[in-house]
Amino acid sequence: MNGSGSAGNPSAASSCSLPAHANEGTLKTEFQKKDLQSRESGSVPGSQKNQRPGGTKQAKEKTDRRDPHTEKNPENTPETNRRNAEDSTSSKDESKPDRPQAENLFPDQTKLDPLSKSTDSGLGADQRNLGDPVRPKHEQEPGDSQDCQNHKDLCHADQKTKDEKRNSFITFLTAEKDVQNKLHISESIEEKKPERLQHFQDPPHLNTHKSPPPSPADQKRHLDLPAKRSALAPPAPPLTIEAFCDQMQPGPAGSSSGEPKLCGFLMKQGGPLRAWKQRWFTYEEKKNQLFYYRTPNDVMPLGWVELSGATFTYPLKSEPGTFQIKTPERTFILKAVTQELMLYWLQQLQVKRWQHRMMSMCSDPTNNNNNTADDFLPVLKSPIGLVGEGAASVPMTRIPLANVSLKHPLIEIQNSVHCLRKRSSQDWSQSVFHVEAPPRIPPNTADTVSTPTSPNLSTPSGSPSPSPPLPLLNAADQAPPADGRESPSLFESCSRRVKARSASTLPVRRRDMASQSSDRIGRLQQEKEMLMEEVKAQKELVWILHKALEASQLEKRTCAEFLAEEGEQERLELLRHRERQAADLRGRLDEAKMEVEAVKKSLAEKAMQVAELQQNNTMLMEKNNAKQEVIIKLSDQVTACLSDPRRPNSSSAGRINSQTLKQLRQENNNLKDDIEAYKTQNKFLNSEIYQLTKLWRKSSEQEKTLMVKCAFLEATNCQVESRYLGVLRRLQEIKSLHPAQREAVQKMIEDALKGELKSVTKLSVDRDHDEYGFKIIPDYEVEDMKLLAKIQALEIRSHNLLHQEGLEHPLLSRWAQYLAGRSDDDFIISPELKILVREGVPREYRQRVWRCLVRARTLTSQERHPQRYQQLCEKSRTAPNPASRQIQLDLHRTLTTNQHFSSPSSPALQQLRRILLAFSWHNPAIGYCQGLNRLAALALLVLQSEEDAFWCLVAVVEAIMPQDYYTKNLVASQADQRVLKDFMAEKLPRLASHFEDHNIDVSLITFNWFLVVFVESLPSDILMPLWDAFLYEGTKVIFRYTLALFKYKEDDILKIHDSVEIYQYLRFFTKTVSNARKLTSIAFNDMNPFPSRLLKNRRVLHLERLQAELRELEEQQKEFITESVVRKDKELDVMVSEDDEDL
Amino acid sequence: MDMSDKKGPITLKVILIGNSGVGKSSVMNRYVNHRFTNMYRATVGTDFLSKTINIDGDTVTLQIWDTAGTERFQSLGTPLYRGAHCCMLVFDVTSKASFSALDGWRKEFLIQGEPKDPSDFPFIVLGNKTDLSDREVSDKLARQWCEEIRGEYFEGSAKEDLDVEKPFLRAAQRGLQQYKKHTLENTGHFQITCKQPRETRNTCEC
Repeated sequence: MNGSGSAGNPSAASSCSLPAHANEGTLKTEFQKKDLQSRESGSVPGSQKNQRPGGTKQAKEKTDRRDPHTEKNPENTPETNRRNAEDSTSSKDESKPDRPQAENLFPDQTKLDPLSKSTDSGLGADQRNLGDPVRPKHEQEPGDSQDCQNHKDLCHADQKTKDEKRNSFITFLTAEKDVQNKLHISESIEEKKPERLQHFQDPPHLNTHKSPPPSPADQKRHLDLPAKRSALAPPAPPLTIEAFCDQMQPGPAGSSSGEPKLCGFLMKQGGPLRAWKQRWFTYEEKKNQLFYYRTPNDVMPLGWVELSGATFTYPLKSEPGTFQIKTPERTFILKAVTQELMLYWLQQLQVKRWQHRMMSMCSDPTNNNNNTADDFLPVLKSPIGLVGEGAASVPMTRIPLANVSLKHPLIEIQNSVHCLRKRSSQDWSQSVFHVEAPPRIPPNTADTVSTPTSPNLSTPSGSPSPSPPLPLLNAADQAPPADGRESPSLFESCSRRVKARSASTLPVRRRDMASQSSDRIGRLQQEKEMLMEEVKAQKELVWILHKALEASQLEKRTCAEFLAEEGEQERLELLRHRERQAADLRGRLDEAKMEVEAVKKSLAEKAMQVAELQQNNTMLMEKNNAKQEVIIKLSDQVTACLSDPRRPNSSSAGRINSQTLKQLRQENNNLKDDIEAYKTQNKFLNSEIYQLTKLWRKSSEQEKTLMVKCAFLEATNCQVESRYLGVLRRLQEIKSLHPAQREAVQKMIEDALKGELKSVTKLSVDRDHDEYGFKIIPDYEVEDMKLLAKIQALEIRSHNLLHQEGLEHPLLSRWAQYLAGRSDDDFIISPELKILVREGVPREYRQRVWRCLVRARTLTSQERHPQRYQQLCEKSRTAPNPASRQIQLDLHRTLTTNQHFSSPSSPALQQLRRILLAFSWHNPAIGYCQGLNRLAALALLVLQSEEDAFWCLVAVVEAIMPQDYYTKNLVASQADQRVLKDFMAEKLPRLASHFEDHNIDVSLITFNWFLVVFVESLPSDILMPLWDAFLYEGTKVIFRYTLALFKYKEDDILKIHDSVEIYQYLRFFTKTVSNARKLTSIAFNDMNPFPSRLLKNRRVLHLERLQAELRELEEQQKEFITESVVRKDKELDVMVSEDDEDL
Repeated sequence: MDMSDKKGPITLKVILIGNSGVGKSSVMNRYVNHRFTNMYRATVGTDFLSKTINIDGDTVTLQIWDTAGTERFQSLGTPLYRGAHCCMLVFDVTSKASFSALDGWRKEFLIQGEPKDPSDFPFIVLGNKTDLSDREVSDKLARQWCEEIRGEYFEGSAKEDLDVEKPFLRAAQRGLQQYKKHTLENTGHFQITCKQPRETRNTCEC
């Protein structure tokens, strides 16, 4: 595919130089390898020891190693640029160096190469972008990218001689050529659009600077390159990209705010095979979504990750850089190139998520932005080049086919269409050519230089290349190093030749020269050594000769002296003198010999002493050694003991310890690495947890406010609906309506009633019954009542909704506070409790509070008979009870609308039966009275315990209610009705007179209320708080509530002027009371003052009167009986005597 | 009849009495609301329903008062029984006791209600639960007693909606008779008590 793609490439002209380039490439990588190794062992001591495959430390080190290199580059930039300019212009002039050192040329080059090559991959990436018409950012500064290479070469040549500058010029030329090639590529892209992507995705080409059609062998080598490099320093791109980006500053457009746009390449695991695929990820701020594309140029994303509900994490056990984004729908597994990059991504995502939340919460995100920098992890700086728009230029170190997806032909098409559109708008595509035009000029100048020797182009690697080394070798051979007169000319010819060559051939020559020079060096060194040996021998000979010369000169002098004496006497004198001298010398010699012997003796003694001392010494040494061994052993043991305290017998394991010590150290290091990794993960997870908690808190706050809003809306909805139904009801009552209108109204009412079940029950969380089993919407017999019932239910609901937020919770906490740490027997009468109870006991505490109140009222009785209820139950099981028939009869007629009593098989019914029977035994004076069933039933519903309910009944009947309330004639009950009438006249005079006017006997309605304390007369949400207060305060509460109920609906009642209608209204109006709070307020505030003494006095008064009346009634009854007997007798008489009374 | 036109429908007060559990509430509900349910609650004190019907050209509002059936509640009757136009004595045909108690109920009514003309006061006797098989009170026995008290006997079943209309219609007729008789007797008094407050209120409002 690659071959076909670049077969028609105009840069095929350079294809002849291909093998040379290939060689160059391999050479360079070898240099690079060495360089890296040396740097690795040099700059990071002990790094190889610590290296652990897959360890995070390793990655860290690699980045560390890169850093110093990249930091240098920006500093060099301006100077090197200038230098570069000088070099390119004055390279011709400098072709005559002052002191050309031929040998230096090549070693320098080897030094230079690896450095220049270390930027290869990055430059390759940059230059690749020159061929990409969609990336104008890089194309705007093609000269820079070129400079980048040049000054990289040059910055190292700063302190070198001008020869080296020439060398950089050579590399400059190659760069020029590269640019030229790139131009060709871009042109070819223009011509063959479909192949654009293939070029773009072809890393091997880019890594070698060139894009000639590679031969199979070369291709193989190319492919090997990235692999080798990655084996040495896996993520090579960051280094060069960083360097590149540093030079490119001011960088990407998105960096104006300091924070680069969050985008970059990440690996995404997906598909059925869980394969890693490289994707371009971009954060979209408005949507708070992370889009991912196949390539940065894609118009349509492959998908996106919804961040608002996402959590981030990264597993430790998997490959470094792997992290997960979990959304409620799915989990995205992503991988960044390095661990740091991953952390950067995660932090940025957290920040974005938070920012987005704050944006959505309030319009000003900056205020809360500070909070995001929570001190869990240091905020990472964006690794420039890997994230941001610039990252799009990162080469994809993947096989070319990976991104050509058959799955996404649509995207492919879209991309190309998008591209075409852009091109047609003459926007970016034009700039490609405009910007690329300047680089064409330098090659032209190079061409003019090369024209004279253009024939050489045809044979770049032919005969000329070996020739230069030979003269050089000769020069070195023939002339001493100091003498360099010959060299300039040699070098000149050489350099001229070099210049003469086209840029493409130069590297070849360089390579040849290198190989030749190494041969020559070998030979020269051999020769040098031989010469050195010769010189040595000569010197020795000279020394010997000197000695001989000295001896002969001494002999010559004595001979000359002897020959100089004239006479024999003198000669004898001389001889005697000599002999004396000789004897004297002999004597001295003997003396000396003696001395020597003495010295020898003393020497021998000394030697003996020395030998002794040596013996001593060796002994001591041995001892010392032995001691040292012991010390070593002991220290080994100590270390063994320290490193492995569990091993008790370390003496035997000492040897093993020393062997395993290394392993342990290794392990220790590994563990330290792990700890480090876990620490960072822990920090990250802490920050994640912290942020999630914050998010959760925000959400719950939001939810709360929404709930309040929702409740309010629902309440208003309920109100609207109830008003609507009220209007319908009014319309229904209007008789003058047209039949058609009437029908319509009727239909609307029917619809409304049908909808009742759906809408209201849905609103009340699918419940028909409240917590005590009462129906939320009571069943009424008549349609009209149904409408009312629904209006009522809606009103109650709206009131509850509006008030639940305002009061329930503080009340709940107040109750909790009151009940906390209070024993059940500790319910002392107090104003605090009174106020609390009047506001209503929260459902959570009602059972307990009732039980306490009941217990407080029946304490003496309960203490006297601990097993009272059980005994009574036993009694009712064995003995027949006169009340049992009526109890049984009423059992199935008790709270029939309540869930717990509606079924005949309900266990509550049997409990109720036992309670009532027990009570009838407990209080034979009352036995059973209709109404007690309702009291007991309600007690049972709340207290949930038979016995408690029994005692509650006892408390109500015997402790709270006045005497004779439920006895034979219900005297006290009837008296209370008269008391009520007094209070009505006092508290509600208008209403009292209204009732009087219409002959309304309120007691017909209210008697029931009093006797059963409103059970089944009031909806449970009013009934329960009423009972709370009733159990605490007593019967006054019934009066208060009765009066409050009339007061609540006073205006309505006053509007009715028909006694039947008034009665009808009074029969159900208690169930239309929707605002429990208002009612309670009337009962306990508006009805004040309500002195107990007044109530008591009135009760006494009316009881007396009533008892008198009852006595009268009894007498009447007696009278009637006798009368009727008399009458019957009379009638019989009449019957007998043909009655004429009828007339 | 001019008077009744002015006043609107005549209100007739019908009292249902009888032992507990004979089905007074059921009968009333069946008649007024045409419904029967097993879920009636025991009437504590009093309850009532009203129904407007047409009797012989007169629009009549029946105000039917339901009472508690236990003895203890009998003493409550005084305010209720007073001013009644008709009394319905209800018993359970499957309960002899409920039938036997009727005499006592009648007497209690007469004592507490103090009707103007006790011997002429209309009593309607209704035997309920005829749908049940274990009948204890025969039609004959009931009729016999009715003749004794000059009442009219009906029987039926509220549950099965058997002959529930008839006793009420008859009660309305007899009550209307009673009403007419007494209102004609006390015309002046009635007018004073009823009209005066209304007029004063009208002046107030206008």
